[in-house]
Amino acid sequence: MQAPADPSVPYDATIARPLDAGAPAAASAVDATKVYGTGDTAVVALDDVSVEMPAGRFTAVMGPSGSGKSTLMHCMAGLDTLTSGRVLIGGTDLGQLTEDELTLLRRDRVGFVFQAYNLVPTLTAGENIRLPLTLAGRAPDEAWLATVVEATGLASRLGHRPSELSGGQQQRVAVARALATRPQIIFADEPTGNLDSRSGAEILDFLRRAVSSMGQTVVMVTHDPVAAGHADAALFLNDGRIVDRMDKPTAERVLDRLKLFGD
Amino acid sequence: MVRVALRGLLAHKGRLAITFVAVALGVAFMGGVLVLTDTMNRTFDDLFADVFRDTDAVVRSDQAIDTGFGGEVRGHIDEALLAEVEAVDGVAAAAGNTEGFAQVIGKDGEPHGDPAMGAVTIGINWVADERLNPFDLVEGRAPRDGREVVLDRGTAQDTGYRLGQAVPVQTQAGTERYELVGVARFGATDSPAGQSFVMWTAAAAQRLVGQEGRYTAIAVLADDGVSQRRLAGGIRAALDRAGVDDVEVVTGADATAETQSRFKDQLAPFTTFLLAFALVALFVGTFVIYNSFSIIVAQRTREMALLRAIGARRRQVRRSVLVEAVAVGLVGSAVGFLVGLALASVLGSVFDLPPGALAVLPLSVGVAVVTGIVVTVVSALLPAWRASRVAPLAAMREVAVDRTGHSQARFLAGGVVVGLGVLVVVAGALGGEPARVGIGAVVVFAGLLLVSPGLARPVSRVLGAPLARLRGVAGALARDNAGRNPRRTSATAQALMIGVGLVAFILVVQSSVRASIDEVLDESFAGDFIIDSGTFGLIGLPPRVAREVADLPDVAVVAPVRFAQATVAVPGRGVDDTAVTGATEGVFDLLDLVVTTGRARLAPGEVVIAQSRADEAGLELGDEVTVTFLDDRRPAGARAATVAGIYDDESPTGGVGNFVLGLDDFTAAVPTSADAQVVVQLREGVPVAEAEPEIERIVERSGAAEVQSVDEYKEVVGSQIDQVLVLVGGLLALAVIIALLGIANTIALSVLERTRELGLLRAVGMRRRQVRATIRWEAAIISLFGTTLGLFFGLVGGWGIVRALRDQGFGVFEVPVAWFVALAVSAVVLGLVAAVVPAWRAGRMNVLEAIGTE
Repeated sequence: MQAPADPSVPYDATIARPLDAGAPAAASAVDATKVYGTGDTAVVALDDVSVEMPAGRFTAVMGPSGSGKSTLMHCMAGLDTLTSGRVLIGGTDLGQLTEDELTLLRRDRVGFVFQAYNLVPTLTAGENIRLPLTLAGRAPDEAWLATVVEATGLASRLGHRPSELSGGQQQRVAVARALATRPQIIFADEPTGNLDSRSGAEILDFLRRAVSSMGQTVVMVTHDPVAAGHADAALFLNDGRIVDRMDKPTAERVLDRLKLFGD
Repeated sequence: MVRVALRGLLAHKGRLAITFVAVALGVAFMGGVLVLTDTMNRTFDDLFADVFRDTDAVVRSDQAIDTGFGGEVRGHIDEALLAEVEAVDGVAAAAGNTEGFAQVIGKDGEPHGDPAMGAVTIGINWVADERLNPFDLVEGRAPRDGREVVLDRGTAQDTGYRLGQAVPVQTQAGTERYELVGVARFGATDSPAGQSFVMWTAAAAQRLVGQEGRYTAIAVLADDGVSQRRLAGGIRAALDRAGVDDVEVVTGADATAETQSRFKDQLAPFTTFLLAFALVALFVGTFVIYNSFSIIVAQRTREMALLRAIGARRRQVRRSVLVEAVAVGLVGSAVGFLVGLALASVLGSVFDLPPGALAVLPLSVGVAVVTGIVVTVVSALLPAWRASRVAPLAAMREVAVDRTGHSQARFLAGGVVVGLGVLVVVAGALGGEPARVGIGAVVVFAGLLLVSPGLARPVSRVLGAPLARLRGVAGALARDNAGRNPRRTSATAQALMIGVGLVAFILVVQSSVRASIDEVLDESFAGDFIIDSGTFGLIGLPPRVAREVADLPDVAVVAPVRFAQATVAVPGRGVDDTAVTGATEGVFDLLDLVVTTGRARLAPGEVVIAQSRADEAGLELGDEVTVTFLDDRRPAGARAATVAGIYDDESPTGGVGNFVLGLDDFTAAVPTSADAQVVVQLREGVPVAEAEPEIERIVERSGAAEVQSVDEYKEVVGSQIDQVLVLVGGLLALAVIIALLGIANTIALSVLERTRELGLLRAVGMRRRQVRATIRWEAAIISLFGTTLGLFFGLVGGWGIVRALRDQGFGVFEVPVAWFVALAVSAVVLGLVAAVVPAWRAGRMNVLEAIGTE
């Protein structure tokens, strides 16, 4: 590939500002730095990143392997802690929370979709969808759940175990599970990574609808330009820094941008 | 969340199968013992209620001696009291009873019924008044004279004696033949609680098993409408008027309750003994349970992490593991209790309990099941806590395998603790303090628990070294796998260490005791024969046996030893119920008992006491004690004895009792005298083989009695010790079986975890046979590791105890090398066997699927 080898894209703090500054942020990172290890073996995974994830939008986070995109997501979702800087979800500073409060935040205000689906194999699809509510001991909003289940298109398969579902179906259950609590923000980590292109397209479509018709906020980490094409905006990370942002991305434009990394 | 946990449990029930079994076995043992105890208690409650069914009052001696553990012996009462009792207003009938020990000799010449197994052999009088006789004739008639007997039906059936045949019975009067004239049943049972009964006429019973002119007790039946209390009061008043002050009158209800509670006291130590082993089994089970849950939690790390990531609180994850533990504990305990019921009914038949419904009391069910659940949950606490510490991020990593190593700090701390424990054991051993040795052994044990994860890898390497050479790749892999999860390997081995450690400890003590006894008997026993009554001293040899043996020309010295219950009063230091010995001076020489203070003379009015007792009671030479036997025939003033000597009783044969009186004093006081043992010394130069037949001929007439040469005596004493060993070993077998199940469990779970790896090995050309061998040898290494730890523990503890007790007769410390080697070899074999099923499953796995497994 004849991509220009130009990894030294200048860092511009203004790129990280949201496109429509009027929309409130569902989650934001301020001066976020994450260092793994100490001394000579220290690796800077996030280097003073400040970013806002606008509410009611579908944001894709892109970048080559080791760019820090997964670390950013883990830290913003409260799964991992920063070395310095702050992460806020809906105005709550995660750094101020105890372990248990963090757990409750994840349970009630954040949804997750993993690359490997990560359904509980012993529970049925329906039970997996309700699991966050079960954990909270909360009565589900049946109307909302019905909407979510309807959107999965799996209403007839709710009694099946994950092992009886295809990968695409399992991932739709996982998305439904993330939606079940009507979280402030959903983080999706390579949700199409394990799927063929058709199943992947279904999942992306599902996430798209979650944002457009259900008013949800989705942040998706991916290295697939096609997946990013479904988002409202794409952020590009390299070497632990946000190096670019693109509104209304298309697969072609994202691919072109990625080529700049010489990936 | 409970549902999530239970679903998880159902899905993994295969993985927890062995854990279920471990819980169930422990609970089965415990439940079995409890049910057996309840059943025995109920059986005997019913039995005693039956015995006293028509008895409204009992008149008996007020002199009673507590023989410990609920046992009691009572004096006799004058038979003339019967007429006075019969004359009391409200008495419908009264019968004088005599009860003592009688041993039926079977057609094979062997004594029937073994008192050591709880089958007491009793002789009583046949009560003519059937209202006061709990027995009913089913065949024949009542005895009419002293040559005739009635047997209980169980004994008649077991021995095969039929009406008209002559039955040899050993009593205090010697062994004689009596004509069987009747067979009787006791209520609804043939042989009440497995005891055997010989029934004579009243006069014959007094002569053979009681005392002439006296009764054991008088049983009284009330007139209709007369209450037990009123009847007893009436008799008491009448006896008071007659000036009788050495008897007591109790109501039938009180006598029943007293006998029932005394039986429970007798049973209690037996129950405690068995329960101790049940607890050992459950303790071993905790290791298996802990290990299962640890491995399962490790294998489900991702699932736990996922739950945490989507918002399960730590508490919820912890609880989900504990809910599984409760379920495993509940089901395991319930199944275990059912198995325990079967066990109790098998044991019940061994102990000759009448067949019939087992007593299942809610309390026993509760205790067994709750213990099982608590043990399971406590064992799962640490794994549950670990599950709750899983980082939510782990949901996104490819981790499923427990690769935790061991902590260096723990290893060092463990080493220090083991060292401290050994020091305490050594100090206790040198200082002669068994209690300190015990504490040290517990510390060593705790230290071994800490240190063993650190040892798992190096020890596996050493134990597995020959394997790698002998079995090639399979051996080398087995060696490496055994050292791969040090915590897992060591927890598995620790379970085995407990059982093997206790067995090794017992073996060391037992072989040392045997060696010590042999040494003492070889070097210091001056006698040539011991004539043993063969009835646990319950009946004894008639004195004429000793006299006749003494008259033999080849015999130099005869030293009879007899025992009777007495109350010994030490002025200013209270009274003591104890067995008092009657003997001749020769006994000290023949048994090599050294009189350290005073003289070995047993002159009238003198007593020789054991050193240990003298120390306890602060008795010194010249002190005066008062010895009052049951039914003492001497006037109260003639019962004082002066301490004339103190002998060293710290010998492996245990001396001859705390208080030794001369035979003349003893015979003057005790109404019925029979020798428990007679020690015989031959004249110089007479060969043992030559004298034996003459002595045998005299003794042969005494039923169960046996003539033992020193070698035979050693064998008998040794085999008694061996019996204890076999019993304890048998009881510990369950703990070892549970530990072996633990090995099977660990291996099975490891195989599951390594599916992919095994598939890979198969894919690159490892043969099924090699895969199976790898897995089996891994188990053998773990098993040998645990056994080695156990042998070390047994050796340290055993050495400490033996050395600490060296002044109490443990002169020799001996390591049972052959046994230790046998244990190590069995460990390897049993380890190989334990892994047969997991190895077979690993060998059978589909290579493609295995590699595809996530």
